[in-house]
Amino acid sequence: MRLKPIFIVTVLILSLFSSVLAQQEVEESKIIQMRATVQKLEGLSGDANIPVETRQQLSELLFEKRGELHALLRQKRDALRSKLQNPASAAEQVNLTETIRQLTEEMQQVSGAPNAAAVTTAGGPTPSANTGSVTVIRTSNGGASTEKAPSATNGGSDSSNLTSSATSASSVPAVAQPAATQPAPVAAQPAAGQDPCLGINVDQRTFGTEFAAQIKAATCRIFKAKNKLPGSNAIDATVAADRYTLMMVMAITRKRLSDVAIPELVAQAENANNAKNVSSSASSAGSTSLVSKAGVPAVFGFAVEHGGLTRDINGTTVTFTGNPVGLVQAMANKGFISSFQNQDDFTKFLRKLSFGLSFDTSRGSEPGVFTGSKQQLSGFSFRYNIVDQRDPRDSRYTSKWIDLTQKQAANLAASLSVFVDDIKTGRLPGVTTWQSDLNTALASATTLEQIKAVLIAELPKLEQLPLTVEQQETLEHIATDFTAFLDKKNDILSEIQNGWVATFDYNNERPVTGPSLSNFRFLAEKGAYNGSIDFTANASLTIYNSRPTTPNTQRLRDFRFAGQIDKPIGNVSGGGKFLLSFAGRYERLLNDEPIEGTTDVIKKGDIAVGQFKLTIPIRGTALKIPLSISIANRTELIKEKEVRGNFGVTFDLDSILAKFNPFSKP
Amino acid sequence: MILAILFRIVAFATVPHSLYFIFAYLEVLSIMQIRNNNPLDLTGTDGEQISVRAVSKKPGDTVAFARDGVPGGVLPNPFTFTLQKAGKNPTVLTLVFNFVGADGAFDIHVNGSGGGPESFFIFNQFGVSVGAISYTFDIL
Repeated sequence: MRLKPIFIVTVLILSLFSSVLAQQEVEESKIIQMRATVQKLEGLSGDANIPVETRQQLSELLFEKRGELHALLRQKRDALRSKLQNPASAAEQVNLTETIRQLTEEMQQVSGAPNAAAVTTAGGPTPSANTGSVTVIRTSNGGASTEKAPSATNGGSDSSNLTSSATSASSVPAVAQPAATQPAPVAAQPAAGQDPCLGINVDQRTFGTEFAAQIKAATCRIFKAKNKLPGSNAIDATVAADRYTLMMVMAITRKRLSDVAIPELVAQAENANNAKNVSSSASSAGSTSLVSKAGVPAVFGFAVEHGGLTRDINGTTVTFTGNPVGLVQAMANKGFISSFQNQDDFTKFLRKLSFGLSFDTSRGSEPGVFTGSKQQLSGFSFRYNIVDQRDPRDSRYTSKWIDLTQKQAANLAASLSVFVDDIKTGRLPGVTTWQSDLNTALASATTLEQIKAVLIAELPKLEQLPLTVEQQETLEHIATDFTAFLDKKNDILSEIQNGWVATFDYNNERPVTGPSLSNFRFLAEKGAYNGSIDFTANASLTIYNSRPTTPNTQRLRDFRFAGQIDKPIGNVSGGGKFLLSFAGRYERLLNDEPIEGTTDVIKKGDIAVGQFKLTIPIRGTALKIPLSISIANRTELIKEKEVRGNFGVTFDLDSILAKFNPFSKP
Repeated sequence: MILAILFRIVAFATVPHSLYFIFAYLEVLSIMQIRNNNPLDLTGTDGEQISVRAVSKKPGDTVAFARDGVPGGVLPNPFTFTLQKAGKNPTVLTLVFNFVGADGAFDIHVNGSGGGPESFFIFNQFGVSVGAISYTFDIL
């Protein structure tokens, strides 16, 4: 008798579960169906054989269907975002984040809107507007746990916002906005003032970094030429060896000659510059950094770290660092590097200045929720960059770039001219035929996605091209010259990494208990051995902001000395660079310091801390994961040996802007 | 320029039309021309001096050049050379753009000493760290 109700409940649960599954499948099948419809309509509306009036109707239908597909994708993404609030495991979280990212990209492609993510983020750097919750996996004292950092004030953000703070919801139109006021054009038109090429994505794993960059650039050039956009050449609408030389050479040689691969120098210069410290102050709760680096973030840095280092309070610290000029110019939608180069003396001075704000989300009226309120403000800082020799655009490196051009680049030009001459004079008939076929296919491609798809489909055919011994030699010459060019360029980059960086830093700390403090620091950093090792030194002293009332207490609270050696593992041109760090810090506390509201006392004395840290970059993103273990003779509160491990996530928007927003508005 | 126009008007009015068009055709043959609306595909006459000027949008970016497989070094501004039919024909001039940062672009102007249209080409960086284009000069 008892089995009957159990059976009924089980059946009900199963049927409910199966109906949910069925609903999900329906949603998925709807998306697949809608994708096919949109693809079909894209093909038809671009078909020159169809009468103009019919094409116009098809375009309108296409616009409607794109809107429907966008809505379905959005529905799916929102569902996944809810799921991401409570992921079953770290692996599932990664999968969900990746799927959300892909859906967001597809939504942008469908809407025909460019990816204005980086611009949008940079344009709204207020904490409440940009921060989503960030899941941080932390290991502490040998134990492992998964925790979810507090969410932003919008409450609905998720960890995908970390990579694409970037792809915040506000940057994604709900429907196909650009065409809303007029019939959908056959070719996707960019929104006013935005670069349409920002949304192009070519898989770097399949094609390699530079070949992917060449395909993206070609897609952009062809699209702009077809749409007669400013700054384009009409002839760029068709592909030929005289104007797409490197892309074609790479397509022919990449399977035959594996050496032809050049690094993504600009973004890597940003990533390689470990001098920028986007972590919170070393003494803040939750910091994984023992020693502060001397660089200043050029635009905006965001770091969320969890876990304690030298304090006993394990809060969550959210740190914002930024440069006033960089932020203002990013908000003005200027290209990151162009804004750097067009500077007068005053902006040059301001650019060396940066600020930081740290918030401890365990404080305030809503502990665990980031509100950005005054109660959560755990510190603020100002930093002035006295010396910076790590800017690849600095005039001190001009002679190096000229020398590279005079020799290696000129040699590359010479071997490329032979290749082009071979094609022009008909010695590579296969290439001529290939060009003709490609341009026929390109004629009906109107959107960025269609152009990219044609290039990706056609370029691999060049790998099969039969070559004579002479032609093979020509290509080998190109590969040799290309490699020499890259080696030299990387040497210069390494030299840039060897430069000095020195900074003066002021930190105002507002601990939960006890008096507020002012900390003055001098930070210096120098690379050595072609950037293979980086030395950092800090010297600081801390004073009480107000004279302590307790007897026998000096205004000077402590002084500290710290040093760190960083050893990058892997090379600049490789896929990401791990960073191994060894650090040590000595701190002298000059007074016994009672903690308000408790009977605890911070005893005066010496504190020595040693740290081993491994920073893992996530390739192609601005994310870095620092893992650290530290050993201390005591903490401020407890006079006994302590060993602690930390796991955090840091994010540097400079790398994103350098990569995805290299274009200024005309 | 005004004198040249006046001269042509006078010539058109005084010289028999057939002769005028023959002279005009010969004049066209003697100056640099753009073929197939492609500013990289050019013709010129033997002995004509070609001038190439590359203007960078961003400081620090550089251009290297080579002609017919011979490296030339950093592109002078302007770079001039003479078309010689006895030499290599067609002659190929390749430019390699080295971008130090991002957001780079070059405007390239090519002119012939005999006058005629100017070849103008824009090379935008579009996210790559190195780029290349090649001019072909068919010497008539």
